[in-house]
Amino acid sequence: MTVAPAARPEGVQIALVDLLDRLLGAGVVVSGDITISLAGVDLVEVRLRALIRSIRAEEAR
Amino acid sequence: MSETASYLYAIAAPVGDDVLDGLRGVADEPVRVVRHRDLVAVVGTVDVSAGGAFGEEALARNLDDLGWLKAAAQAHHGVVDGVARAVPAAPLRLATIVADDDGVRERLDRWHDGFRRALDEVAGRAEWSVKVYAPEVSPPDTDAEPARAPGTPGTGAAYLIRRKAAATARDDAFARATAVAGQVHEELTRYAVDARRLAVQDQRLTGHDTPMSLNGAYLVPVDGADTFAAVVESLRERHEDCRFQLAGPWPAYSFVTVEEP
Repeated sequence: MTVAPAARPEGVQIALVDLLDRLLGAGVVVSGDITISLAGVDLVEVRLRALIRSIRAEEAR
Repeated sequence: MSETASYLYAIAAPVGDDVLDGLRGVADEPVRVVRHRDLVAVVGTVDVSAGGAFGEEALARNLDDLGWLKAAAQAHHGVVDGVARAVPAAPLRLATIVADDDGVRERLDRWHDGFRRALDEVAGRAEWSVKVYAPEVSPPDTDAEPARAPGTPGTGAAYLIRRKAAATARDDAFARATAVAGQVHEELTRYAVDARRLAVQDQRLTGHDTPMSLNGAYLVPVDGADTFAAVVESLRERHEDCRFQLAGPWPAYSFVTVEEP
């Protein structure tokens, strides 16, 4: 069962593309115990790009 | 039986409960701090059991789920942003998960000096984004060529000439935008404490009609934000054929890097 995180009620809007650019590619790297090293893994990036394309399609509808 | 772990949002200077109380994390969980010496890690407790959203396999699957990823990224940003508005904060990447709070403390200890330097670097500053897009190219003038009946010799050639002209115009527009990007970045760097050119975003992702030539990130003092925005405005006026996009202020995502010791 996955509970979707609540949408943020306020604050400065940031486009998802910009956010993922930063959350996946930048920021402090602290290796976690669970290995989801998104950054530098091309495959994940490719999947994300495919996802983002579908976001755009969804938003365009 | 559920098994939990600590999800890290940011390393920060000590932050009050009044700030944390209003925040909810990626699992809609309340967030708290793990303190070590003069630093805190802002964390939430997430379910990493096989059936939980943050178990290793489930997480990999969830990251492939557009709706989940979007909500998680926004929730992560919400916590980081809320903390960064109150105290200096170094954002962590999405889905940094450590087994327990002792593991969090151990990392705070190991990377203490790097985190300390990172917080000093971002204190009183925020990240702004400036993007430049190539000018629109007007479609080839179809009236320039007298209309011919389909199949008449010459129609195909005229079409190819128009297509080639359009392609050349697009190349020229992008070359122009690339030159503008260099000038804009150089100018904005003078009004920023630090500046980086991120990889330009694919046109299919931006949804813009023309390609991006600058995806700049600028670390700007909070009291210099108005001046920075005014400089962007003057650059926009100077290069009015290109399209500019200014966004922020955001936590200093692009300016915090801690080397592994």
